[in-house]
Amino acid sequence: MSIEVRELTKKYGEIIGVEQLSLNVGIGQFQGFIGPNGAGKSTTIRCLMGLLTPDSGTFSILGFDDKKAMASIKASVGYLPSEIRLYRKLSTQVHIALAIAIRRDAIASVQGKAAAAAFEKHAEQTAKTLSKRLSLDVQRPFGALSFGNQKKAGIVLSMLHEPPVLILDEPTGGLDPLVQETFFELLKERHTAGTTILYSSHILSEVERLCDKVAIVKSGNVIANEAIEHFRQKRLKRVMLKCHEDRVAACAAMVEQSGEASRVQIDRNVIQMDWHGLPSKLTALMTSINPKDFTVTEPSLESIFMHYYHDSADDAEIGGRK
Amino acid sequence: MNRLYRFECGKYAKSIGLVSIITALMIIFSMSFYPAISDYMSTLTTFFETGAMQQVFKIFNLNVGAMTSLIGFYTTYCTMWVTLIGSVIFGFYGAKAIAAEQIEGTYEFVLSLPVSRRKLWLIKWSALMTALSFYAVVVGGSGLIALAIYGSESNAVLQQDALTPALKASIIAEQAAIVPMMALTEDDFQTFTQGLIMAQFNTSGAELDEAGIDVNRILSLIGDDLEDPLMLFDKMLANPEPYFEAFQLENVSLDEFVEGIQSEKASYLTMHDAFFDPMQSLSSFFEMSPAFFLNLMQARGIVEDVDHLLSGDVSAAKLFAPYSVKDFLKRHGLMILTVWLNATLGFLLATLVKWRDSAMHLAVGGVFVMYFLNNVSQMMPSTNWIRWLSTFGYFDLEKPASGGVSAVLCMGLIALSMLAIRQFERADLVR
Repeated sequence: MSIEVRELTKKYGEIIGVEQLSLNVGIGQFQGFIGPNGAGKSTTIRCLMGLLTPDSGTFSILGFDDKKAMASIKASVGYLPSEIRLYRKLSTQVHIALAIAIRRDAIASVQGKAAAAAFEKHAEQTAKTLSKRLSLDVQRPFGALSFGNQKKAGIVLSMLHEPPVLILDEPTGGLDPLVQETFFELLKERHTAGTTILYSSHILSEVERLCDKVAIVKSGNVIANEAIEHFRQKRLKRVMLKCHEDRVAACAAMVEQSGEASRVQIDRNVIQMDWHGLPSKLTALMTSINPKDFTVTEPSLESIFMHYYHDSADDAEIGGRK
Repeated sequence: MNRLYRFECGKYAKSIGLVSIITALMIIFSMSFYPAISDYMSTLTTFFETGAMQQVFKIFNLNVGAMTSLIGFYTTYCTMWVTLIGSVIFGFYGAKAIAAEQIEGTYEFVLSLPVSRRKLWLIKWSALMTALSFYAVVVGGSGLIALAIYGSESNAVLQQDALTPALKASIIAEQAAIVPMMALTEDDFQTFTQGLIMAQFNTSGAELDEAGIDVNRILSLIGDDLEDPLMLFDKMLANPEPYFEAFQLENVSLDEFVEGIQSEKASYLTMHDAFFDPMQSLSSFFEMSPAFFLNLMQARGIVEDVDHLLSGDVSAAKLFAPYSVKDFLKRHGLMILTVWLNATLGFLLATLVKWRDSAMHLAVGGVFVMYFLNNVSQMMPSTNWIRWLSTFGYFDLEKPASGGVSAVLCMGLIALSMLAIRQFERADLVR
């Protein structure tokens, strides 16, 4: 496993950040990590980066144990926080030089000076290439950069050492669509090169586009962690029924009575719903409703996500769990 | 050199550089008052000795008497700049070193790099100490420059460091020749005895205070009579009751008190004879106050003669100089140690508290409270113990803590540092 989280619990006083959260990410995997704000994504990531101390539970990254080898974990990981906060008066270039120097020293202590010198040269070149591709002016003070450019600085700092593991926490916030495209290209290149990526987001279209596996976080715990295709192969279908105008209310009542539909939306004579029952039951419902037209499609990740979150009572707990 | 260490040091470059240079200039500027003040010192001393001024100086822990010498003037005048302002600045920066990164969120960047929290803490501490060393060198250097500039305009004063046991023994051995050269007078004897009595009151102040004896009441009753002890003895014998009441001696009757005075008077007369006897004077009294006799030799202009008599053992240039670099460095070192202690406590405070947003304000407030506590401790002998609650009490220029107390302080700080490192390793350093 590339990332292995075992029963991680982190509380903020009485508020639970994550509770008994477990997650396995395979080597070279592009792992989505989705959930609404407050579900526990950032708390998990910050624990992985050693910024927060878990109350209980352990984790390892590339086999390095959190209790014994945090420095090795940090040497192997590129981290992009959701909000980039660097020294405001210093330029991105100074931050890059500092990051390279500290990583170089870490390499020198383990692999020797020659390896450290080679790393330094390569990292400097990588930082230049990344800055150029992202159109980032590295000479300007960080505080003078726009939010989007600050994010670009964060991307460069997280990727300049070409780490085997990338942990990205809501990485596209503030990036314009063109830069987003460049960033996605960079991620695909890294993924192709074998980098394991943990991609936390609540923008499901991004995750659907990039990731090959998705973990859904709810109330501080992972409630599902499967390949996107696997989610789609589940019984969940998105169904659209076009009813006769005079029978809309009756049709809607039949849908409700079936007990297998969620996210039911009615727009004039069109009823849309997520169906999670047996196909035979859907056929029976169709026969009763006798629609003018209908479509059955594979669900989007959003549909899958909402399926897991459709219980409104549970939703109310999110972000303020006790 | 470790890049992170250089980076941390760089954070202080502007601020501490500026503070150091401003303090250095303030010191040189303050010392420029010395020639003018030393010229009018006798007039000023009269003014300073008024009750109100004495209280003001006590509050600020200033020793006006010391201002007559150049080093004394430096110590009295510049302690405020070097120690208090330095402690406030470094207490603040000590706390800021830990707290600011959490407030500004930059720990998220630094701690994502392969550096352990323990190492980061130690690097931050080392960088703070480097900044303090820079401050110590710049400020100390400016002090030495000021002493060199104004030294030529200062009176030569006795340098205690040059007074070795061998030299004392040589002087005493040659008393038969030296005492006549000094041409001792009745005024000299009175000054000597008054000094002894005052020293006695000062050293036994705490014991007298503990015994419930009001020293100030006794001194106000005696008043100017102290200038003529013989007359004072006669006055006390003629009307002993007020003095007996003032001394509040337990288990001593009035008759026994009167007997005591008669005995003290007899001792005084014996002492008087011995003081003027060339065969007894220095052997009996030199050790009690070497400074008194050496200053007298300087005043009578016989230091060179004594030097000649002792075959060069007494060097006027060595014994009497405007200032001693060694003495200055010792005092400067004590001042910097006080700043160091406040910086360290600010650093530890910010590491140990959970509410780091307030750590810098707390550290600065704490320095002022400590300064106030130290001054309160010096108001009365019975409150002297309060100095140990203050960071300003340990490296007092006149009476620094003993080696044992310093060792306990160091051990306490080491224990606190270990606790702080542990806390820093476990703390949540992002919001």
